[in-house]
Amino acid sequence: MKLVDRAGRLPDWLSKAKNLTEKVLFSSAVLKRNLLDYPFPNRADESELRDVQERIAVALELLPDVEGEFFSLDGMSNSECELLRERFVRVNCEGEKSGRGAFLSEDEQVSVVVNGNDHLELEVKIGGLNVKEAMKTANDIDNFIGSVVEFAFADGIGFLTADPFEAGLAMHLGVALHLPGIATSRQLKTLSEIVQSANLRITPVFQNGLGNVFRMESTRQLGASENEVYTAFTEVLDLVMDLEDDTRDMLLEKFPLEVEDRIRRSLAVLRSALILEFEEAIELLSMLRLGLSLGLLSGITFRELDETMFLTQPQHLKTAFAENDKVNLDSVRAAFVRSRIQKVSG
Amino acid sequence: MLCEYCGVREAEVEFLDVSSRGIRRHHLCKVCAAKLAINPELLDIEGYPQFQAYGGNYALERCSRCALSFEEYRETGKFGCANCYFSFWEAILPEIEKFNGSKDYRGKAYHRDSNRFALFDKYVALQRRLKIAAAEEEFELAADIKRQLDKIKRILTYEISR
Repeated sequence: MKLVDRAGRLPDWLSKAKNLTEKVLFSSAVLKRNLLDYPFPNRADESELRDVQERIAVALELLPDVEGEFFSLDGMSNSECELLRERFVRVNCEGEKSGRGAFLSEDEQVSVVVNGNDHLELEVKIGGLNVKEAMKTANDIDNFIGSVVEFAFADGIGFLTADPFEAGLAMHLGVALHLPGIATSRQLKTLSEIVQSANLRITPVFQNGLGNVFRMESTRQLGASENEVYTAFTEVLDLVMDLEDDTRDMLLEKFPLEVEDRIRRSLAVLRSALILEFEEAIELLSMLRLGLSLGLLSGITFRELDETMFLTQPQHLKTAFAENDKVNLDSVRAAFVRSRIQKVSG
Repeated sequence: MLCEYCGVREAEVEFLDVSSRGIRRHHLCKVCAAKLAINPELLDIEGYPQFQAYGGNYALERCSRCALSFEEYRETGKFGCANCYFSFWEAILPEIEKFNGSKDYRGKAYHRDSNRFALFDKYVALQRRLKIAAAEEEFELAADIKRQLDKIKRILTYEISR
């Protein structure tokens, strides 16, 4: 299947979410690995990069139980590369492209960026709160690939990565969180303090933290096993979710009218707007998501809202719905969102 | 000159062994240099290479494999190859320890199986030959290669699914 044909289709981590909570959109496990016999991508020449790419692509072909395709960045148009990025595959569309690529499984649970910062960056994404499952799947795939190509690994240090601060487990466990309470009550600083003190980091999913969606990831690589990192991660995750609940309660208690006004106003704008920029759409949809979790709105599910957020991203909208370049994308977006929220009531 | 370690491949890397006895030079092939670099006790030429920090400067100024300098690492924040860990790891260990709260690896073990690596190498090489055979319309040869590929594939995937 061509990359552009995927634009109208949703990845499984979005459309088939299990344990979907109102705060966790998806869970992920990232493993970074390098092949022993080659310099890291930043020091490798083109033929070495091609060799690495070939070997990883073949290893992925052999991978039991995972069907997918390898997309080379070589000769890939910017819009296609952007499409990959909007599907949360962390390729670098601005940098050098030759000898670089990404594997994407049919269901998009598994993605592998080849020759980004490291030779391979494996990511398993599962909808909802399923960090453990993502970790297990990533581990199985890692064991297979590492059994056919020799990874750079040193006893005492662990898996070796281009960035030495990632060496060791070379793993990031993560979740994408919707945190409108924390974000609107300006508690992001408190949040990043909690997170940093526990060797985690928090980054916006969409540019500038739009839509109040953040990714929280583990960063600790030494001094703890994979399972210990997982346990510490879930403990902090519980804390963060409690903080979000507390701030929502506080907002509702102190500013009930303002909160409800903002949610209803967002719905009204989305219902009547004829022109809708991505930035505005995602902010307003975030308010709808908050309204749904506070019980102020009904008639739509979290999953449907998340899918709408995902599909209104510029390149997706352009590829799936705009017939040509002359179409005003913002008006297409307004119509699309309108059609998706028709049944919302409150 | 042949590699001093394996005696098979051509030596391409000059390997500096810095110890209290001074600096000794060894000539190694890229493969052995990489392997020794992360497992130095294998190097039984003149004992264990000692890398000593003195006066704030690190003994090895450049990685003996990819020639990355410590300054270049400081600029980019990235090592150039697995061997850089041997060259520079000790120098940045205090920062790494502070970041992780520890310097000890406690993750899963990595089991290497050289037979599987070799089998996979053969699989990749055969795939390349298959492409050439197909392009040159050598159908019998292509069919033969395919059979070999299937056989290797079964072995490589069987052991895992088992």
